[in-house]
Amino acid sequence: MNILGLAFGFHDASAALLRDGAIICAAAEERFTRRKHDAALPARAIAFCLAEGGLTPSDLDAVVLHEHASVKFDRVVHAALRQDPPAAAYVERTVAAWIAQGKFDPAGRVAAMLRIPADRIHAVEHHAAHAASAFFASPFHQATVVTMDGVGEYEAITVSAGREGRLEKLDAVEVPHSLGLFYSAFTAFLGFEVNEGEYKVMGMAAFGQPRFANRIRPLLRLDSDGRLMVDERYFEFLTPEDTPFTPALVDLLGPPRVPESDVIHGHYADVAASVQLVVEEAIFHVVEHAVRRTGIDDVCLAGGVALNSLANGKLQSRLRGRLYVQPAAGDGGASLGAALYHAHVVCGVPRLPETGATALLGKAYDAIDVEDALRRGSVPRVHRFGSEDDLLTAVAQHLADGAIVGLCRGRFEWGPRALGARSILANPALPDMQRIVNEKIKFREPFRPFAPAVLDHRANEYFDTPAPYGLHSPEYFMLSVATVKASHRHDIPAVTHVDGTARVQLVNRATNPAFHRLLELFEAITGVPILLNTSFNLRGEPVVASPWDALWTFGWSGLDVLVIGDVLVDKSELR
Amino acid sequence: MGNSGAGSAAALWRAADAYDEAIDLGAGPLLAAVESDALLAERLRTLSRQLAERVPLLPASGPGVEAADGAWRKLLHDAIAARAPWATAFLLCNHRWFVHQWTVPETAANAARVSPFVYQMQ
Repeated sequence: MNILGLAFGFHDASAALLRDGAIICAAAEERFTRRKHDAALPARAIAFCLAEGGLTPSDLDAVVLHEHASVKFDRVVHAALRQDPPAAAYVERTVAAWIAQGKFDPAGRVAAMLRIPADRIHAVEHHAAHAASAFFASPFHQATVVTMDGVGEYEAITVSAGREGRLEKLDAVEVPHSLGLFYSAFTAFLGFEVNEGEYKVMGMAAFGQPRFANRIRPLLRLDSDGRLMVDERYFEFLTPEDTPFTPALVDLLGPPRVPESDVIHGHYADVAASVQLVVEEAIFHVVEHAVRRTGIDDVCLAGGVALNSLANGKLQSRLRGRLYVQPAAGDGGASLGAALYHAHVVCGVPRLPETGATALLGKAYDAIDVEDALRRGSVPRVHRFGSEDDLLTAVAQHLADGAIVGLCRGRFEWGPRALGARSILANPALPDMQRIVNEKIKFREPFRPFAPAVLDHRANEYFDTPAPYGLHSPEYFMLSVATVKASHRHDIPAVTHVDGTARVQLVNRATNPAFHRLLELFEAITGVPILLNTSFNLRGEPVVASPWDALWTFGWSGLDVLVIGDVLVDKSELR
Repeated sequence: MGNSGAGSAAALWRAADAYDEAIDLGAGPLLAAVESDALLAERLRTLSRQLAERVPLLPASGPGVEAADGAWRKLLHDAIAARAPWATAFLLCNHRWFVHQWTVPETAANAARVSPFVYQMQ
């Protein structure tokens, strides 16, 4: 049974293909179109999935969409009517945009594009897709499944019990009582772009003290039943004309931070630390109540809030059971969830134990693609090697010598994290490396931290991280933050954040063999089994997908060395 | 029926050509749910009046109008099938406005953009 899951229409469009319950591939549209957070009908991602599966559209048994458009429109109307007077301009603008973007009839658009009968197109509730993306990709036979995001149709939080091929929804919290929108409102208050700058708030939080937590805490009331309520006097989520917060929030916390301003310490860092603390408390509240309600200790998380790796790291230490976080926890992952929901819940396809053990689900490019890119870029000199080990040895030596390396090999990653397939790598032992990569390579804010990728069997020497329960552990997907052991902070300064934390990625030989080998070779030279690992992209651009994307980014950045496929390019030899 | 405001909102959707068809499709309980919230039903009437004032009278027929009417009818059916009360009531109250929105040139031009996938497949 071939099932194609699709998510599109708001941001981060994607497609995912299942065959008899096995994940064949999954990819975000932005990787192909090079438009960050591309929301369009994911035509290129669909084409990739069909090619990867060796399918034509007529081979698809079902195409499953990640939300019910009519219910979402119901929420738009309802939101407008909750205003006094009703928000006519909001409705007018929304309907015009929905008509222009074809959002009223996504199923019809998909059927027309693929030329398949309309009765093969299905839809699931948005949060059911998120829940399925976490539970059915987890290794758990049963789990407490919690989804938290901005908003789906109406829901912003759901609690479900997952048991084998079933998902039973037990509770839901509807917008405007949304943890995702709450965090995003502060993202806007702190001068960052909503749906993009949330990571920056997390990074900024480390520079501050949560001295405003007592002011912010009452804005998010935690109820005894595990639910929460946002104080609507401070926020404008439903029909935002300008900012998602009201003057009341400005009265409470002072004027918002001017975007792009250099101010990251002091007041605004304290606001970031405070909102991070309050949101962590809310996440613990929701999840711990959910666990009590289901009586199941193992937890699955999805929805954009589940990408809050700071909270995930702390949550792990509070749970009695294990934690699984869908690597593409945001809306981009809903395509996979829609397909998994249809396969297991609707069609009763048996679950497969290895599902979800890797996030390397994207497109791999072959040697012809590499040669085409080199020819198109008129690259005059490249290095080729007799074996992969020779290539990786050369890369390790460049890294040990202080070079910053762009790596584009194998299938690209599913989700926002670069896990060694489309990564920028550097020597974490060099004190200035964080500043150099931020300023000269990625052209982003100087305070942003970088993650360490570490050989999994060596991680406990450097990090206070929970022992992984298996290859589905959040640490393998860079989804939780750990503390760098004090005795080693001076050894890896470039990946130790100002508060002594790091968003660790464990690297396993079986699931990521080439990257594991590179770490071994780097350790053989330097004695450090760790590399600085950040996504291979420039600020504001999607992570690279193809060899040409990689070469283009290499040319426009301060990267020293590029590895595409089995070819190495040394920029110092091109001048 | 609730108060007179809610009654006015109900009168609006009952005036729609597709009202009987909507009832046949199961819209009755959805519209009753809308009517039961007198405040929002009154606001629906206000919103519909505001929207109606923003659009000119439509020609009775024509290819654009018929296509837009078809789109409106499909959306109404989808809303009823999805048990979406506010969308159902809104559509019944705002047929003329919706058809106008669908037929204004800039909207139609955007909607007509060919997807890159179709281009690629051709």
